[in-house]
Amino acid sequence: MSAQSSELLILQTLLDAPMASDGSPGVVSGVALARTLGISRVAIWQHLEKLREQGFTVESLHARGYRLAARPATLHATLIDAYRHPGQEAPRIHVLDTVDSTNDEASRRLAAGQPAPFAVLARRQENGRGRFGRVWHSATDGNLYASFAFKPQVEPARMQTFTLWMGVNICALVASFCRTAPGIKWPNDLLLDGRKAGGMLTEARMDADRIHDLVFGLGLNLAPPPGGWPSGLTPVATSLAEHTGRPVDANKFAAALIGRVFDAYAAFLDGSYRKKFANLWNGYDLLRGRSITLVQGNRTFSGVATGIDDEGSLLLRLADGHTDRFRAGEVTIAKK
Amino acid sequence: MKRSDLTEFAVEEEGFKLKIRRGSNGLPVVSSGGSYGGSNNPFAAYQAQAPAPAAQAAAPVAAPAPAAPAADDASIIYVKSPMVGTFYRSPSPESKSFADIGTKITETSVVCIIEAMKIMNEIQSEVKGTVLEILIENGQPVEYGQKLFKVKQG
Repeated sequence: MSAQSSELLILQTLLDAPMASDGSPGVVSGVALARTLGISRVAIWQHLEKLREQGFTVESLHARGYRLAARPATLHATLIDAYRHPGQEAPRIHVLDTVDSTNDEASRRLAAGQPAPFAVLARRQENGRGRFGRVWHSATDGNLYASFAFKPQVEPARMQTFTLWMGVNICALVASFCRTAPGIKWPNDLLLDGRKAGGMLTEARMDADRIHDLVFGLGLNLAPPPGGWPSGLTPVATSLAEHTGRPVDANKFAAALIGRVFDAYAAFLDGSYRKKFANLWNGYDLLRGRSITLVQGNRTFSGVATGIDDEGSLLLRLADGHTDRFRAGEVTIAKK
Repeated sequence: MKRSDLTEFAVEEEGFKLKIRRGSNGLPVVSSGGSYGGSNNPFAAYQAQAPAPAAQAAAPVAAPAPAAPAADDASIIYVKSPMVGTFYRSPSPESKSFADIGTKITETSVVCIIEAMKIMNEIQSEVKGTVLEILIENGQPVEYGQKLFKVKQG
């Protein structure tokens, strides 16, 4: 067992320890830890020192053992690993303090030859991007920026619905994790109560025959910025914490997100997603039945959204009664 | 098929499937099979039906294009769109174009982005040579297999 996995196992044991009756963190004896891991108590102590160096507060209680009194509040690679389900495949996770954009970082790592899949998470983005360099407000610690790198060896046309499929999976994750009902605004905005809480951007490199690599990026507001939203964003932005009324544990959420994204990717590649996609989409589709305006380049279309087709195109019933399908465009929902 | 009416067009090379769909009149036309007038070249049908969108949309940049869709010069090759989407010549409105007329490109050069449903697809040229023409305007929709760039190989 590597030192790293020993630390992880110790951390998981401390996290899993049943809470004491007064609500304080559970205590695990050094003897029990040593027995579980098959290493000496001195080695346990050394690993605990390593965890302390990483920002965990591990208390030693005389003659009783150890307990985890405090854990890092911001994103933390070891903690994310500890929260992940043991059965799940564990891709490499890179957690960075600050990065220009997690999508760019993932692309650079791919270009440098790092094998996929892997994930890049950041506490801060200096240059978070929406489409075409639009700046995504991201200079706060309360948010989650995650990019996932894959090398799907499939023909480009198969990836058409990828972002949409990922979007409904993120919605389902948020719904179960926060017990709140998010919605998706075609094709890539995640909304809570009509306000934007997140967005997705997939970037792929391909030629005519196949995809070389693909980076799926997600920005999600877990909490409002420390000083509140800039005044211009107040009516349009929100976060999971504001919406649910309680804080969201970024590391637990990240662990669940990583599991969900990798499962969703596998289902997408093997085709099993098709059975679930339409139902999930219909469950989270915010546009269906709404009057919307879609801007595509210099053209504007207005009508009523009626869902998506099996290729992910937005269906729009126009004023003349015809339904047209759209693969791209900026959607604005008309005021009720 | 007038450009404004063209809402969907697909060609599959292996097993040849041609799909034409017009959403605006609610009457999709779907054809498949290799029954296009004795031609055994699937792209013959494609070229016969849809050369207009690419060539006409390219008016601002294109020199008068030769009428024949087939390239007489073997060194002329086209970079085609691998998917349906929106064509962008640069990564952001303020950025430089990936490729201009005269740009020398290699097999791995990114020549454009095709966006479809928030997937920004960086398209690699697959050919080495010099860009002669850009056959479509920035921000315009493209169809599967549509010619994007005319390239002189070498």
